Amino acid sequence: MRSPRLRDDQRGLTPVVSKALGVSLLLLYVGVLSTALYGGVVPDYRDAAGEELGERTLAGASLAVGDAVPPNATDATVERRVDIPRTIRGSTYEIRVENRSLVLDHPRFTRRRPLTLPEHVVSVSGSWTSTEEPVVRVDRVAGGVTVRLVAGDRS
Amino acid sequence: MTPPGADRDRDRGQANLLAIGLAVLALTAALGLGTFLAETALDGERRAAGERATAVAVSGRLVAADGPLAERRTVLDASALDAADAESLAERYPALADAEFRVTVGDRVVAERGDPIDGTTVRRIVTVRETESRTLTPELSTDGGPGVTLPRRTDRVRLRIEPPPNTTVRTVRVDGRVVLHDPSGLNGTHEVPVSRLETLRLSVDGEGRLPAGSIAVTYFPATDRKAELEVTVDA
Repeated sequence: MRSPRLRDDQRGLTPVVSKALGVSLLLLYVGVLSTALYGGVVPDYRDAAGEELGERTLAGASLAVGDAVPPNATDATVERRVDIPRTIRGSTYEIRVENRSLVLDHPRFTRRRPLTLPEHVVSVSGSWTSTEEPVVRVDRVAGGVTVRLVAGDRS
Repeated sequence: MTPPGADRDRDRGQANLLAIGLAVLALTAALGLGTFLAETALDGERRAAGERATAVAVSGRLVAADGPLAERRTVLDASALDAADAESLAERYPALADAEFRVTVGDRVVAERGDPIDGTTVRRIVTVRETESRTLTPELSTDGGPGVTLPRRTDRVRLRIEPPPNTTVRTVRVDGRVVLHDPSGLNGTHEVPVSRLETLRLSVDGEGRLPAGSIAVTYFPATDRKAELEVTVDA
């Protein structure tokens, strides 16, 4: 059995030790948690959400390009604005035409989608960067129409 | 023996730690639940924007006037539906290239590749036009006469003219208008485009007697019915 003096000293320290212990435990917990969240979980989700948004943007853009083409008999020039997000997962991106497909080129991923266009579309070309106003331009040429992705005025 | 006061102090220190432990546990549980919910939400959202876009675009092309199955805008040709197959559709619309898909009109499967069980479906209302051919061998006389009235409307008439010797058919009239004329005599098969919008009376001019069967008239009445075009795409 210890002497009563020593016991009194220990009792004096108890609140300090217990609070310090508690605080350090919580700090450790918060630290581990933040590392886990911001080191893995959150970026994963941002990537997943970004890719999903990219896919939708591309699907919407390809539908808009297809819808902009008038029937064959119409002798008209069509200019149609398309709504796409300015940034995906915090960075700008590019949508361009490659071989009758629409390609979304993002620093983190690339997506491709074949366009479904009427037969009388002779050629498809051009590209959009997400910082500009995206416009589909359909012009009449001999034997059909051409489709171009051009930049309009952001207004 | 320890005095009762010291005992109580030790209990207090442990209670504090226990509370922290419980709080940490609760936080972790909440975080785990949140992550799980986020995961399921994202999984649910992963449904197929691309699939839908493909189905919308392809069904739109199919009902357009220049579509492979269409006769006019939103009017499908029944015989084209019979002839359609999945390979030619996939070749024509590259968006379908790597997808399982099914195209149905009404209850009938027009084209199917794979089994698009949980695909996205787009429906459009269309008219299906079935064109059949019917042939008449009317009694006609070469002096004009009353002619023959076609019982149903048609957009073209095919005439097979095989007059016997000594008989000449010079002119064929539809509703009084000359549609075929040859002073030296008509012979063989001729196709004549006519108006779909009026009832037609056909008569011939010429010389000599025309026994039954010398002139066969084939016409092409169409039956329209409403149907639902369904395009299901499972990418």
